[in-house]
Formats: sequence, C-alpha cells, structure tokens
Amino acid sequence: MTPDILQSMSDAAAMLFQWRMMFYLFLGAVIGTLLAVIPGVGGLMGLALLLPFTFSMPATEAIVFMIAALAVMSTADSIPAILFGVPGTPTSMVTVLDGYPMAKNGEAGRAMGAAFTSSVLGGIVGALLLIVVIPISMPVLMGATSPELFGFCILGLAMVGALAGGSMAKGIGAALIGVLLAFIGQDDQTATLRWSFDTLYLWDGLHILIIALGIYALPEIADLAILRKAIAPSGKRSKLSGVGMGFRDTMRNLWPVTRSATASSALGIIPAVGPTVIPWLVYSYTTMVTRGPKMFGRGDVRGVIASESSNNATVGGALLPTVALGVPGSAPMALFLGAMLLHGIAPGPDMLSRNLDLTYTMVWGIVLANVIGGLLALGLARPLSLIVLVRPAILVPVIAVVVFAGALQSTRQWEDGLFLLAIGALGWVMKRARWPRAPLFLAFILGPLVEKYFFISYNIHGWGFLVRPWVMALLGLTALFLAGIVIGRWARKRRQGKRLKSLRFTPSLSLDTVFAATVFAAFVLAFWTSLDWRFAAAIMPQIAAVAGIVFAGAALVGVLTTATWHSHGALEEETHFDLETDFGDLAPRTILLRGAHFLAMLALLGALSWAFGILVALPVFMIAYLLINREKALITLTVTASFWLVAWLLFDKVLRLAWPRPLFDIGSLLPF
Amino acid sequence: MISRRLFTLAAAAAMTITTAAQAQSPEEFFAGKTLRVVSSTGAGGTMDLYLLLFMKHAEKHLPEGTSLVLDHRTGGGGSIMANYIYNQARADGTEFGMPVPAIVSSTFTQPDATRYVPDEFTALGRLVDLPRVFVARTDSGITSFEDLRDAEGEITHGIMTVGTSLDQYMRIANEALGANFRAVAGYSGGGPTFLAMEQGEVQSTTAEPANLLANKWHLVESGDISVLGILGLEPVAGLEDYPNLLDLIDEDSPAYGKSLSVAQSAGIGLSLIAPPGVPEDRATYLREVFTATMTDPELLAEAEERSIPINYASGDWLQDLLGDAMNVDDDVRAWFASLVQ
Repeated sequence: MTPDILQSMSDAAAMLFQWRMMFYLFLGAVIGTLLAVIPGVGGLMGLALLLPFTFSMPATEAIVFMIAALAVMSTADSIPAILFGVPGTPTSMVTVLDGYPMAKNGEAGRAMGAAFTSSVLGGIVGALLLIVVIPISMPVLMGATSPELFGFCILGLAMVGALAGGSMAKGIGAALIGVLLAFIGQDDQTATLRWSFDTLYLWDGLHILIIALGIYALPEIADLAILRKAIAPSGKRSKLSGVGMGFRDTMRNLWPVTRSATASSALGIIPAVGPTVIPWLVYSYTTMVTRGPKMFGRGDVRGVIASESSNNATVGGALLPTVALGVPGSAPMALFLGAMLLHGIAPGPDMLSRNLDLTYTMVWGIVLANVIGGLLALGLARPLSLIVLVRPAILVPVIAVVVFAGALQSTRQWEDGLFLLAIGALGWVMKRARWPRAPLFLAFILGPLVEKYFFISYNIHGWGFLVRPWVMALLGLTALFLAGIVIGRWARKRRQGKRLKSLRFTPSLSLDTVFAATVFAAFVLAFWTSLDWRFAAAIMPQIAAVAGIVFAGAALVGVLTTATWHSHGALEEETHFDLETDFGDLAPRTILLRGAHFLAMLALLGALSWAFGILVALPVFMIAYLLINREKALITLTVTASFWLVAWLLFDKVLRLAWPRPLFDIGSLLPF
Repeated sequence: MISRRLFTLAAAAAMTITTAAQAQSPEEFFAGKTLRVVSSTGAGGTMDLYLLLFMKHAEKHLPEGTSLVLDHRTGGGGSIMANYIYNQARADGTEFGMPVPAIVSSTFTQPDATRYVPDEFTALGRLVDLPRVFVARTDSGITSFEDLRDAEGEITHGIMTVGTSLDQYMRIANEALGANFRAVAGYSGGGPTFLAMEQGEVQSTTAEPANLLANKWHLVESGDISVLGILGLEPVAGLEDYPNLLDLIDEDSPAYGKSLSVAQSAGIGLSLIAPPGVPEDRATYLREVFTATMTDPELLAEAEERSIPINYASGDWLQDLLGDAMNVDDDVRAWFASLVQ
C-alpha cells in the first residue's frame, strides 16, 4: 500500500469523524434501520424516498447519509424476515429460511442476535476487504465484459442444483417457472412484447418486489391466518438471553462469517451478481460444506449467520463498480449512484485515484454505520421479538396491509395488488406442494441476465466468446459444481444402499398432483404461445419451456407414482430448502377454506383500495377482519384506530407516498 | 324522496365548491397545497436531478406553505406516466410531470400503448434539451462523421432496446450518412453502454452531452474516445465545434423528416407538462412560476456549481413544439412504427 493510499485513508477517517459528518451518518443509520423494518416500503423504495431529502444537504454529508442508510438496511431487514417470514427487502429472503423457523421455535431473540452480529461483522469484513482491493480493482472491473458476466450468471444459475433439495425435478421446475416469469415483458433484441397480454403494466415485466413479497411474504401471512395461532406459542416466549446466545453462536462461527463475507464482498464487485443473488450462493455453499448434524431450512442458526454475513458484505463490493465505473452493482446502489450524480460527484477512475479520499470516506462510513445499525437493531430486538406472541387475528391484517401498501409502491398501479395476490397464491401452493421457492427467485433474477449477456456476447464474438479464458474457467467451474452435486447424491445413495424396490402408479387428485399438472400445462402453453415470436425473442423462453415440460413432467410422474426403496437402514431425510408449516390436525378442507377466506379478505382490501383509496380501505378491512375473527369490539376499534393513525402519519405525512388513483377519490376531500 | 334531497344537497355543495374555487385567484388556490411532480423514469436518474433542482427553487416562487413532492411512475417506455397525466391526474394544476423526450414519437412507435394526444397537454416549459452525441473509440479508426461515410467494415454500436432512442439515432446515421453501424442491443442504460465502449466491447455509441462533458471528457482529451458530432435541434454549449447531423442532411432527402423528428424529441428534452384542461389562469400562473424558477439566479448558480446544463424554453414554445412534432409525414410515422415490428 503506497503512502498516498494510506494518506487518503487517514484523510477520509479524519473527515468522517467531524461532528457534522457523524450527525449525518447517525441520522442515515437510524432512518435506514427504521425503514428496512417495513416490508416493501423499506430497502430499495426507502432509499428512493430518502434521495430527494439529500438534495439540500452538502455533497459529502449527503453521500455519508445515503451510504449509512444503505449499509444498515441489510441488517435491519432481517427483523421482519425472522419474526414473520416476511423479508424486509429481497436481500433478506435467505434469512427467512432458518430465521423464521427459529422464531416459531421460540428462538426469535437468538436468531436476531445471530443475524445482527453476523451482519455487522460481515459488513465490516466486506468493507475492510474493499480497502485492500481498491488500489488493484480497476483492471478487474474493466475486464468484466459481457462474456465473463455471462459465465458468472451461468455459475449462479447452477446453484439452483444445490437449492433444489430433495426433488431435483421440482427444484429445477421451480427455477424454470422463475425464468418464464422473468421473460414477461419487452425483449431487448427485437422489442417483442412477451406474454404482456396487451397490458402496459407487463411491458417492463414483473417488479422484483412483487415477486419477493408474493412468493415469500403472503404465503407466511396466509399460513398464520389459517393456523390461527401466534407465531411462537406462548410457552416458547423468546427471552432476551436468546440475543446473547445468537451473539455467541456467531462468535463460534467466526471462520464461516469471514469466509462468507470475503466471498460476498468479492462477488459484489461484479456488477451482474448483486446482493439478491449472492446470499443464495453463499447459503447453498454453506449447506454443502458444513459438517455434523444439519438443520438447514428448519431453523439452523448457521443458515442465518451465512445469509446475514453475506448480504451485508455485498454492500462494500457493490460500491466499487458504482463509484469507479458508474455502473451500479445492485438496485440500491443505482440509487446511491443517483445521489452521487445529484451532487455533481462524477463516478469514474478518478474515484480510485484523485478522489480516493472520498471513496475511503464511503468505506469508513459503511464500517461505522454497520456498528451503529447493529446496536440499533439489537436495541429493537427485545421489544420486537415479543410480536411473535401477538394473536394472529391482530397481527395478520396489520402485516397484510403493510405488505399490500409496500407492493403498491412497485409501480404505483393497481395491477401491483393483483399480481401480488397471484404470485402469493403461487407461492402458497408451491410451499404446500413442496416445490422449493428459492430456485424460482434466483432464476427470476439470473434468467434475463443470462439471455442479455448471451446475445451481446454472441452478437460481438459469435460462438468464440465461449473459449475466452475466463468464460471457460467459469463454465468449467459450473460443470465441476454440477458434477459435485450429482456425485454427492450418487454417493449418498450408494452409502445407504438405496435401490428401487418397486414403483406403483397411485394417482390421486391431491394439491400436489393438480399443481404439477398445471405447471406442466403452463410450460406447454408458454412454448405454444412463443411460436409466433421472432427468433431472438423466442429462443431462450422456448429452451426454458421445453426444459420445464421435461422437469414438470418428471415431477408429475413423481407425484402420480409411489416408489419403495431397498436400503441398508433408515433412509436419510432429504433437505428441503424451504419453509414448511405444520398444520397439525387441521383437515385439508379446513385449510383450503381458511386459505380461501384469507384470500377473499385480501381481495376485499384490494377492491376497497381500488374504489376508495388505501387509507379509506384500511379501517374497513381491519374492522371486518378483526370482527370476523371474533375480536372484541373495543379491541377492534382500538387496534384499527391506532394502526390507521400510524399508517396515515407514516405513509401520508412522513414518507408522502404516492398511490394509484382510486375510482372515487373521497380521501382527497378530507381536510387533512 | 330522500335520495332526491341528497342529490340536491350534493349538487348545491358541489356548485358552492366550484364557485368558490373559480372565485379564487391562482395564488389563493395553490396556497398551502401539495403539488405532485411526476417523473417518468426511476429515482436517481438525470430526470430526478433536474426535478429536484426545480422543486427546490420553485417553492420560493409559489405561495407560502405550498410544497412539492416527487412521484415516480415508470414503465412502458414513459407511456405509463404520460397516460397517467393525461387521463388520471387532477387537472386543477396540482399535478404535473416530466415525460420522456420521446413523448410524441412514442405515439408513432407504440400507438396502442399511448392513450394521450401530445399537443393537448398543458405545456409549462422546458428545463433542458437532450440531444445525443455520437462517440467512437479512436482505435476503431472513426474520428468524424466523414470517417463513418468512408468506413468499409461494420462498426459495432451499443444500444439499449431495439426501437428506443439510442437505436433511432444509430439508424438515422446509417440512413443519412451511409454509415455502417451494427447494433449491439441489450445494454441496460446509457452508462453501461458507454462503459462497454470504454472496455472495447463495442466501438461506438451515443452519449448525453452533459454526462460526456462532466464525467467522460478526460477520455476525449486523452484521445481514447472521439466525438463525431451531435444530433439535436439546437447547438450544445461546449460542443459547438462538432457538426450537427441535421445540418448535413439535405432537406429534400427522405432521411431529413426522420432526423428532424428525432431531433424534436431531443428538443422536448426534459420538460414539464400538466394535464389537458387546467384552468387557464392557473396554467398561466404555473408557467410564470416555471419561468421565474428557471431564470432564478440562485438556481442558475447552483446548476453551474453542480455542472447541470440548463436550456430553458417557455411553455408557449414547448406547446408549439409538441404540435410541430406531431405534424409529420406518413412515411416518418411508418418508419417509427417499423422500428419495433
């Protein structure tokens, strides 16, 4: 490290420790923490809301404010992920996998303690790594062209194999559903509108927030509504000591934390592989290399640690391409880039040379904000962990409204609500039928990137792009990874002496059968409807659809048949990387009826909002929901009035959110 | 009977409110209100930069207690925002917004998606025009428009989605100059496209003048990147020495109408429009506020300090341009439509 770099680091630290800078840093960390707790409204949308406020700040203070808010969001967004299974932002989706089951087991405090500690450590390690690599990063950044990014995306997509869990057919089938959902909208190569059904809403495809909230959040709320029990039974009340246990869990796993954070920060530098993808890669890798008894997907604290140490570390990595190239490594970073441009701070190589002190100010800002954010989140942990004991009749409508309002911020059209319900229904059925949802989400992000980088690379280099050194190395790594999965499965089978004894055709009209058949039919239909498209628009969706027909077909055969196996002893249970809800002795009919009831209530909220606006619909929905669920009138009115007041103040007065225009805008006639 | 009474009561109340509103001066009407400024692109982009600058200084020229909030309605190539402003936004002056520059030509390329008539909007004024600059890697051997004419091989040219503005500029150059640009589509924005050129992945592209001058000019000075010229309605400060493609095309050439139409989109640039039917006195008032804001010495000083180019044009000028831009030959409309077919 040259004296110039050391001087820049020390200048940056001196600048940051001025009281004025510290004030903005603290303010950013506090606001970022509070926003990230609100699913949908926090995270990306939260940063977008904060951006205008920075305009009146001095440039460096604005940058420090934004970077602090950005840095802490990956810590605080784990709170709703753990408590309700609702990711605060898409980056905390992996945390849901083990964090939420821990909350259900009365270990919310422990999960949050582990999440915050590993998140803070991950953020710090990621930022410190950045300090080391900044001076040598420019050649790497400039060398990452479309063929190399294609290679990275293929490697990422291969991780689906690890997340597929017990049923490879269902796992890959789920990924292919994600790919087809991602292909909705206008394609870049021919401007063909793919599966947009002549609607303007689908022109740009489905918003990631709708997928994230629909696929994970709504099914968890629905299950709470169906079960009609608090998230954690009262006998499993979370204790404050749990937070300390989570802290100790993290300290016992310092090497995995460092490994996850280092890899995530390094991967975060690559623009294509953002913080929504990297934690999945790290999680799947962790599940493969962890030794001893594993409970991943069912409440293993190491899953929470892997996810949280990863998602926060990507912030540091993603900062590099943003400041050095003006190409944001993630969606939140795009907003941070916006803040830089608003203040006339030009991204470019100068940020790694002439303006290095400013870049280091951002890096130190990430380190400090992480510490502040971690402490704030720890402070919130105890009061918030008590939420898991709240009766679902009260909790469900409150979370449902927050998620619905968050979804409406995606594009501010009523269709956001409709698609939230549709994707939510898909997510719920997938969960019941044990189709893992993680591959869907991962493929939803990576599928279009693979298509984009393939066409750019092919257009420029022809097939020759596949023999570029880095591309070959990445594709080779992908092949090795997939071979490892196949060999691992084969070895396990061999170890258990598992051999097929008999296979019987046992058809039944279960949810599993109906869903597999529907997915199979959907892939056939997708292929059929793409036949009229021009080649460049059609080829990738058709490949995905054909693969989908094969894997959904295999899944369908799987559910229509019963296999019995020979083995040396009891068969090991296959890991299923997704949440599961134990409905106990509830009859399937009851489950379906309660599910339909919940869906109908949500539809009521949507319809009332569409007709009269969300702030008018909110109290009607709340009162109806609470009374139907036999809450007392006084409690109903108190909860409704309190929540309406908070929502009005937060959404309308503080955040000044814009909503789609209702049919009858009676809210605008109100004097306040 | 009850419903008739209710109806009479409601009608009387509505009349009272309407009469009271009509009796108000625009200053009285806007006082204490929150005005919603709708952007057609996502947060953090160039549009935000201009809107936030405008909003910060406009509040000084509005009645006390009047505030402005920013709202993003993105998608459909800008049609979602324009459709919203035309069909759904309140036409009382409290909602207005910044459309994409291609607000008129979008009605040619995607007539089914656009549910508005461009010259029926209430034009408030323009903040800046948005021409584009043709740039190429110097090692491609292309350093001027003349080199484009003489080039024998294909020149890879980075664009975003086929049919959108970067593609339109490239096709105009191909048609008007006989250039041999080959589109490489799929880049996710102007920034990534320019980076691809810096990395040597593509040989050329078009850039926003403001971004080029403020952030990338060192590449021009070092000789890595060559500026070929611009395409726009007006000269660009800082780029006066480079030719405007429009000036090089014979007015009788079939390419001229298309080039002019693309240049008119650049001329519309970043402008503010309100829904059709805003009461005349309030529209006039908003235009006055716009003019006062855009000529405010404090705004101009801040823009200069932040390297934000300003090229103000009045609401009347913009209204005329919207009308002119719609008035194109059928072959120009057909050309735009063919871009996405």
